[in-house]
Amino acid sequence: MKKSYEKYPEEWVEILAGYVLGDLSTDEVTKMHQLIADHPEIIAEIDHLQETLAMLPLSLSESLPAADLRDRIAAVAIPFADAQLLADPLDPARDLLMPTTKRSPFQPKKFWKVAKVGLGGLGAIALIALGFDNYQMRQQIANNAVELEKHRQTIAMLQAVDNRMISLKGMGAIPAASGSVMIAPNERTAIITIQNLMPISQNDSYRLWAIVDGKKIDSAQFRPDAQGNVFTKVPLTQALMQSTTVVITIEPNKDIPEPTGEMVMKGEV
Amino acid sequence: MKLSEQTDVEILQAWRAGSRQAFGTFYDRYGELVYRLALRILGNTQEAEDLTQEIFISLSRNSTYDIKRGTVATFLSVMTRSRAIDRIRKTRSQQQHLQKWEQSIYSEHDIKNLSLMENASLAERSEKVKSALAKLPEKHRQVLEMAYFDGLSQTEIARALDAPLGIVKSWARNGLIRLRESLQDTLE
Repeated sequence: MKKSYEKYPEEWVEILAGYVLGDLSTDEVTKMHQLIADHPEIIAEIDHLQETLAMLPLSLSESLPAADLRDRIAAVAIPFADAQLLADPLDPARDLLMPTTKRSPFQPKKFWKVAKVGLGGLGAIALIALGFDNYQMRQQIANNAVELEKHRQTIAMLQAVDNRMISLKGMGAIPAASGSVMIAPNERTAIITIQNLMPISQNDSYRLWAIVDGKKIDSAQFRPDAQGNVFTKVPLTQALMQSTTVVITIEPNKDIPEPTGEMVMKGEV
Repeated sequence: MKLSEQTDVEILQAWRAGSRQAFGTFYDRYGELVYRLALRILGNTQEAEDLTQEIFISLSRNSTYDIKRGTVATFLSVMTRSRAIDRIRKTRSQQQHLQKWEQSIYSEHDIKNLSLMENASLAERSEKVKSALAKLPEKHRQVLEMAYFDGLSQTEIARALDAPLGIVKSWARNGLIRLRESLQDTLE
């Protein structure tokens, strides 16, 4: 059986490669439009060449990042749980809530393939630009809808009757800091709002500890924005639900059983 | 199910839902790939770490990655390269054709085989790509790498290698075509 890349004359494939590499001359662009008009299925070959190019980084020899990069990234790149998924994210029961990864019957890829084939005559470059814009636009609309829904959920959460609030006061290194932890048991969420925190090293983050029976239990980890503000939702731990006193310390970005840093904020009901 | 047995997409979802362990698994799968590419393009460990962090933050938010549009490894490569080259461009003159190139990869990049990466480990795939590159004639490989990793235009490459532009173009195109032939099994 002929392999797919052997199906086309060499000259054609060279034009496709030139397109993928971004080096087509004006004449070649015209030729390529014609090729796609006459043989719309050739788009699959463009896909393959693009995938091939995107594999180049795999050829680089191993170079390991600093060992602590993982922890540093963890401190800033783990989002706080969404309201509807507030149970422990690793709780097996939560799998029931997880969106499935099966593809929906409507497959964008197929759709685009068909659309591309059907409209091949318009020329690939125009199509690609069009596809890109539509994609961006659809993505943006979807993103906006998600954001709006999140805000709605937050407002509903803040209005619930059985919420309770712990006020936080700065001490030690940051006496000007102030804020609160709102405990929303119905939503199994705690909302942390703080202002005037001082900036800290990339390797550290602020840590909230709930005090239960004299023990300090790690309940949340966060970093302030450039203005020293924090507004974040975290899953409500059992400890945080029970406790009436919380403290905040500055800790390195790794798992630690108990606070090691100086206390910088404290809150009591 | 253990995290190590879950697909990239499931792990990414768990991470985005706030799972620290899922983040760890994802980072262990792809952190080094992102860093490796960032380091190659930026040439500086500090900046490479910085960009790796930026990529992971961006991935942790829903805005940029659509699972239907390709494997995670390829998506990460395209995004890392694009952002790394943006950074080096700040100190270099703009090259319009590069932007077109990146845009076409972003928009056209539409891979069907989501399980590709899950079937073959990063190390296995690395070996395949390395051996495919090693089979290319020296100049073909060099031109492809200069374009891809250094973000150079073919005119700049022609100048650097003191070769006619037409020849450089032909090296790059043929290099890509041969590479694609060697990697046939990985692609189809």
